[in-house]
Amino acid sequence: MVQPTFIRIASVVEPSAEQRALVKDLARLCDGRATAASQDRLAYARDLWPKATYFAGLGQVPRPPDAICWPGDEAQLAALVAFARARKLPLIPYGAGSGVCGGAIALSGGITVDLKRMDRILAVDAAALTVSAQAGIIGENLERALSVKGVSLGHFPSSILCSTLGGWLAARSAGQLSTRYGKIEDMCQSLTAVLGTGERVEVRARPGAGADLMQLLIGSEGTLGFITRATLFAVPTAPARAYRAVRFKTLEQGAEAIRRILRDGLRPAVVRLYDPFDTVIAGKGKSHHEATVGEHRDGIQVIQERAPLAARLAIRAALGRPAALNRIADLLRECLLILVFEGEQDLTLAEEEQALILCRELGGVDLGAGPARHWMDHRYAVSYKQSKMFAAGAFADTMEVAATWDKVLPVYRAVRRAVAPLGFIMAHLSHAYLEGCSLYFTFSATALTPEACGERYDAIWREALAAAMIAGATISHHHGVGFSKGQALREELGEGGMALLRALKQSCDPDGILNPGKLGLAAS
Amino acid sequence: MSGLDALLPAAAFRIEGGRHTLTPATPEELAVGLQWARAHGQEVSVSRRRLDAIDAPEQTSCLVRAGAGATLGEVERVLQAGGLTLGPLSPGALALDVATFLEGRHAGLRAVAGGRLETAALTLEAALHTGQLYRSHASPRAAAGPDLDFALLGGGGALGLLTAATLRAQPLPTAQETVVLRLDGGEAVRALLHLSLAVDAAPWSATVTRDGAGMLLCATYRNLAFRVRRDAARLRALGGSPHPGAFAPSSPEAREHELAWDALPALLDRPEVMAVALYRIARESVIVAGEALPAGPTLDAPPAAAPWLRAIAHALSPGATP
Repeated sequence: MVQPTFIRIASVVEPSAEQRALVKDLARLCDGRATAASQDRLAYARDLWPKATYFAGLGQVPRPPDAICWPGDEAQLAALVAFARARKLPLIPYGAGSGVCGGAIALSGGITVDLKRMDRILAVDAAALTVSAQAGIIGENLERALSVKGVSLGHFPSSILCSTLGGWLAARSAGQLSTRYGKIEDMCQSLTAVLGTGERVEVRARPGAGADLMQLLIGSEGTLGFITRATLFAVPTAPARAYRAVRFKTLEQGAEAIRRILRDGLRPAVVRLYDPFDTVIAGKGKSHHEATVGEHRDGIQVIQERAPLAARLAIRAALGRPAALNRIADLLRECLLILVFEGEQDLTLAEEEQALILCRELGGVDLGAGPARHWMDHRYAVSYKQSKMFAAGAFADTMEVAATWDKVLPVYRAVRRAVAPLGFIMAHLSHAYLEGCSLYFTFSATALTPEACGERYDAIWREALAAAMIAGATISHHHGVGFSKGQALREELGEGGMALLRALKQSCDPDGILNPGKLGLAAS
Repeated sequence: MSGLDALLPAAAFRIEGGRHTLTPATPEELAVGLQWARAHGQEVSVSRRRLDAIDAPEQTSCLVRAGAGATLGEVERVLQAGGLTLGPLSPGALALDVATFLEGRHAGLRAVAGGRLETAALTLEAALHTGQLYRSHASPRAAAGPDLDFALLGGGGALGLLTAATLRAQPLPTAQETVVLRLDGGEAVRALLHLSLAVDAAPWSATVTRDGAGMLLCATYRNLAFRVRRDAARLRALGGSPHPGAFAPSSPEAREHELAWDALPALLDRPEVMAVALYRIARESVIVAGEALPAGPTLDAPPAAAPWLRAIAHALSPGATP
């Protein structure tokens, strides 16, 4: 399977004659909006795949695309596809580049196609509760436009400020309120795409006469076509919201509380159960008497500001002995459950009350609204916390998987066991369903040299994914596959599933030009 | 001898008038039979009645695995014995076997909380026409590429035939309440149900009966007690005039159609339509069941074979006759 080749940033120089000629052709197709300038190619060389972030700090990037272009409409996109098919050039669909699985990396070179010129909101029907928008719109912009009309998608991924509607659909993303509102695939009423054949298709799920192509394009991560626009179901902006946090003595109790809450038909917007270390490390376990709603600065941040070198050495020292650090974590037991309910006032309050009754029956201690409100106020800050690790010469990454309830705790234990010798690991449970939930692991590690760091990174992922799969989890709940989990997807799908996936690919992209090397499919 | 006898046990197939019918007892037997048919360019019929095992429900995750030949009604009886249910399925759906419910026009969909449609199948097991076995992973949701189950759901068997499915269940409701409201006409019914979806108070099922110049909407709620009370009260508050009455489900023989919401008023306002039942009430569409509904594909009719599905079938098995 193709892996990205890392090259020195300094080696990315001005475009070659071939690349300049390519840009001229692309400019003709895209209203002049094309480039192969070195700074642009560098900018599009990577997405937020953490391994690429780590090596960027060392002056290296994956080999960049040959050119970037910005089509303005579906006709230009179709013309681009025809052009690329004739030249056998890879096309890499690009939203905002916030994917964490290397899905936007041009593994085989080619043309990165940035869809952000196609960013209009086409219609908002507050009465019918639908919204239609082009795929290149940034999520936050879409949500703000909806809120003015008193509606919302209910889709709030932590990347909402730097991700697009098309990217959401391509990756089957989930927002932090998905327990109530569903994932993006639950919200989509119809979508339009330009396939790798150049054909423009408009697909609507229901009423339907048969199979649903829409659900096959969603999650295809740019390997079947370019999603260009979609109509989604909206919800009335919730008139009421209730926050609650509960402390449990063990993770098992907290997980059972979530399961019982969902089984009783309650639908919290947010369900997050932090494992013991995740509960302690960021000071989230404080009672409602101690938690503040003011600006939150955790212990690591305070040390880094006041003694940066000491902080760097401390992080490296701690992460240099992951087994010991994880054994300390094993001594901890208490877990924090955050619940947020929203919707009609009567139902919101009733569900909050019912949930609290359930939690108390399982030994939970009510911590009031403070920790949950604090989480809500700072929920977008978590992504920035990873930078501390990279600044210290370490790396951090997250792995989100999902499993049915009977397998959730075995998956948690298996992954911790597999990763503990290699890196520090903690986790939370979230995105809950009647049948199961997502497990979101965060791991950090370091090594003596950058090469060793890269190997440690790969080893952690290999062991973590294998352990999760053996214990019964699916390889991704909402981050997607990209290329980094391609091999794991092959194993999960098996022979029959890969045969179906290849047939789907063959029918939609017969020349294999769309995002080659992703989803475990061939690179060319 | 057809050659099948060397590959399959005698009980797994029969030949009548030169026509082969596969009657597998396991997915492997079906896969072998389909592969033989492909290799010999032979048309076969398939009966999945022997694939009718229903496992004991998995209570922790509210799941039940059932063979493709079991009927949903049989699955529902097993679930109810364990305090679970498949949820608000229509009588027509409950009369179908698992395979037809999932592969046919229902596409395995059911209405869930929030007014959404969700596939009732957590996982699918199938024998592809290539002879390969397919089994999707058991996870409530995933982002592991396209959800390939949707190449089979509603696909009419174009790519392969289901052998079993793990179905989502939910706890049996503990309370029930019926709300009867008098409304002016079809548009008022549509608008009220649309509002009920928006405020999270959509009923489990409903009937609409002509009542002089107006209509009676009889909405049934089934859920936990506190939820039933709240939802029923919410519906009453949304509109219509209270009226005595009771819910009468349609018979399994009634024709069931899937309708977009904007088509519902015109149907209800047709003078020959005296009563309909509404099932699978969701944002996307609604199932309408009744005796005098206009002609058109019913939900038990074979699904349409979309060109894109045929293209995938060709790519999966070039030159084969499905």
